[in-house]
Amino acid sequence: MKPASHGLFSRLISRLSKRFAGWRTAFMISGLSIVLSFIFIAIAAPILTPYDPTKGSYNVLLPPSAEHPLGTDSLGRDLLSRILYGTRTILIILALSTALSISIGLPIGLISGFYKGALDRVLSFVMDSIYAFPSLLLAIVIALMLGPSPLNTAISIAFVYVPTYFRMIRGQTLSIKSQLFVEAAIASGTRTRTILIKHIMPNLLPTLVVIFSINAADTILTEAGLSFLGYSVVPPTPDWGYDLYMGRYYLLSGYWWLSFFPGLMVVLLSLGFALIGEALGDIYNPRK
Amino acid sequence: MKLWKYILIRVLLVIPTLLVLLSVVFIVLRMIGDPITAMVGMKAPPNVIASLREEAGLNKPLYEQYIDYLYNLFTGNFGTTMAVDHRPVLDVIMDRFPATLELTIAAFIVSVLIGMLTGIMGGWKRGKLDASVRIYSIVSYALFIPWFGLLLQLVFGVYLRILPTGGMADAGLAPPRYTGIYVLDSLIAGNLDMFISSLKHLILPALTLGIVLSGVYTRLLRNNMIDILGQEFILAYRARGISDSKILLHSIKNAFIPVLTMMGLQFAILLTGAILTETTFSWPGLGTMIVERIQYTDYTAVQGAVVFFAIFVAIVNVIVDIIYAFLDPRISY
Amino acid sequence: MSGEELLKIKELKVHYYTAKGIVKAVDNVSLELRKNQFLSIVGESGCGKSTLAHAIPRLVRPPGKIVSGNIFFENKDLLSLSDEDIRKIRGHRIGFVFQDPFTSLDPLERVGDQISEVLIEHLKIEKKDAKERAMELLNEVGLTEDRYNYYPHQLSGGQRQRVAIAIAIALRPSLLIADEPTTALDVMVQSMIMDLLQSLIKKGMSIFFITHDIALASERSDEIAIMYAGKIVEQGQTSRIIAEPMHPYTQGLMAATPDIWERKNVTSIPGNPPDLANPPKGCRFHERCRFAMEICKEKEPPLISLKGRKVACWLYSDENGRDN
Repeated sequence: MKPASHGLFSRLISRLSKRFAGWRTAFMISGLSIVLSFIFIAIAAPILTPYDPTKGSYNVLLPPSAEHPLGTDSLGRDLLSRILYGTRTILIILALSTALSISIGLPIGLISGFYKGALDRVLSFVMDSIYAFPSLLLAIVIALMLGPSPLNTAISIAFVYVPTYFRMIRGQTLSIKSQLFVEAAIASGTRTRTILIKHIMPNLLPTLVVIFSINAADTILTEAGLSFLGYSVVPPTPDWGYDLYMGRYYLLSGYWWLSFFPGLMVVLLSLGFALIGEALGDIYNPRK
Repeated sequence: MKLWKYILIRVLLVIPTLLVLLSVVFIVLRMIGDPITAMVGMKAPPNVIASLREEAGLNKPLYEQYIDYLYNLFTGNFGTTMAVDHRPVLDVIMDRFPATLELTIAAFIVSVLIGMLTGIMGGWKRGKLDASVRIYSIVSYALFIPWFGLLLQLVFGVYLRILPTGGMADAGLAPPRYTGIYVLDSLIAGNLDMFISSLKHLILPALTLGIVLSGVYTRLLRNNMIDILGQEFILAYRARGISDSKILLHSIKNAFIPVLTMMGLQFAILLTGAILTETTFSWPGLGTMIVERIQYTDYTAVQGAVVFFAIFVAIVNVIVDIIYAFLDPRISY
Repeated sequence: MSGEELLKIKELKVHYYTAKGIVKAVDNVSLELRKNQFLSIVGESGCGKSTLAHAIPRLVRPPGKIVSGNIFFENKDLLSLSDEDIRKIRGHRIGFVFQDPFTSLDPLERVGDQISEVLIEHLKIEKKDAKERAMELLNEVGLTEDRYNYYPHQLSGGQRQRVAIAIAIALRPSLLIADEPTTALDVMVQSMIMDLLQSLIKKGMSIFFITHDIALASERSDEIAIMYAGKIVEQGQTSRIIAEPMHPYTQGLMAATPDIWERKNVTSIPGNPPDLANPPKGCRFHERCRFAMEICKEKEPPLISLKGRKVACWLYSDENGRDN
């Protein structure tokens, strides 16, 4: 029996073109263009701005002008430069934390869903308990214990999202396992490793993409939250959440741009992923 | 009744849930690294760190610490704070908890109201209205609480000057403490000025948190409504000549039940949001308490507050499950 | 058969506007139903019989739409009524029983309350009186009064269908439409539900019964209409059609029905029903018909009266529409 993984991407594309009509297309296109622009900004930051994002000057708290399109902060640093370079910080943390949560959540979810039994029950119970705990609080405590650095922030965020990946992967594995082509493979004595890698894993990919895009929106907010509270990267590393926090003291005196622009970046990037997630969620949930 | 058996089992299940959560807290706070060093920073003199470790009981072997930790928690002993006031941790928590409760309940009401209204409209009417409802749910989900809160502060506090930007009440208008929930205490005290003052302080934080959380309910209710309206029993209602307004009520009831199961999990997100909202609005709740106590290197207080959150979450989840059992006749006990 | 006319469907067309194109689910169907009559519409799944049933009280949902025709019921043209007026007829003058009792009852309401609700809606009576009447109705359909407080999931399939019937007949409608009401049930329960339906004729109701099972239809109904690919191909008194099926499709349906009394070979009709978004030219059955002639591929046969029935087949008429 042929595994359903055959021609995964061609199936994905035909599914996309069939399902993408009206609002879904709009969501997907706007989401993708937001995310891609941020990736471009992260790569091209040095070309896009002449200023060093960490070097202060005497031009403190300047409002937006031709020279400093978004103004300067309390240390006289160009806000636009800080925001552009801040994209790098958040995207690196996002990539690291996603890689970490998937590399933990995927195998245990797979094993739990495939073998079921006592191990599955224990794992599910533990994961559900952690899932019910306020994620930011957990991330704060872990980040605090590990100390501030992009890798440590990524680790603390990754820990929080392992249960999400676990739950989805486990559920998906359960349903794929009960499909005919997998049952046939099991019945014909195919090695478990082969079944997991050849039959089940490829079919998990679409689910993984959907959870990733939804989780990414959340991860951006968690990272920004962590750095807003001061538990992410070390200053003067440009970081949106931290810049927003620093600017907030000047907000009531009218220096609104200090907080406004870094926060806007957080919202836009998160929105980009949320839009993609909404569009994708529709495809895989034709019931709507 | 079988229902009571179900409730009993559900309540008993809190114990393993708590055990898992408390163990996670223990592992995170004591096994990743030295919490005292983490809080003081590397620059502190070794003798200071040593004495703080001694005070926090961190010098014993780990397994002894773990047993002490669980034993103390189950006997309700949260220890004494290590900084500033040296009071029982539980007292400090109880000082702050009502503020968090007030904020979360208000925000919860805002989010469910907005979420239900928008979700039901979107699912019932479809078309252009539905599209804007979908966009609302995505945008509100992506809002960053401190940013959104600051925007509201800027508009209503700085430019319009109609609402305060921080705290729980104006100076001199803090109500006498009965429950610790200002809006309630001012009513008990029968002081209208106090009530208005605490209500005004509550509006922006509750709106910030409530709007950000409402998107999830909007989305869920909209999708459930569309799902329910496509089901045959709705067509059957129409075939019976039941009026649209009554069919709407039936479909809302059906669409709302699954939302209820989500509320338990949503509660964790609510608390996460509360931490950020409290910090943004200088709201004296548990979230700001944790942030403050980390700065004071108050290990026992931080641990106590985190543990308290765990217990709080576990209890709320049980309550939600029990309400669900009462409301959904289909649940099998 | 005589009797006063209750329902008259005239040249009804119902189309579904799908991505594949326009699906003509009901194509130019005319039918009559008299008082106290049991009419069965028989056909394979997808032939449009269920759409026809839904069209009568205007329950066709988008992307479906009633395109043209008339439905006269108790001297009113249902298709020209306002939404509010048709709502007052639904459940009151026309009862409707759905195929699947597992999905046609609200899972969150007690079954008794669902009966009461329809009484209150149409009669504007007090809750207490409605409840009393609902209990009587439960008795009438063979359920005990204590079932009033049960939720649908606590009842068996047959009990649920009895509740659905109780709701449908609560206001003594003159017409009861039953859309395959026994398909989701097992055989024993099926015959009890059929007995219940048949007993309603004596109470002054007419039954518009949809089924795929010609044997079931022949046991119970006064009249049968055979539907194929959106059209009526043969219609008439049950006894006559069963004794001498004329349309090749009717013959095929009967040959495909197992008979426990006579040992005979069950033969199924070869091929599949046509795609209604793109139906074949001429007679829609010609691709599966063993008598197919040249004309069948070209021209649609008219529905003509012959031997006490109506039949649409070129075997029995020439191009001028006369009998052969």
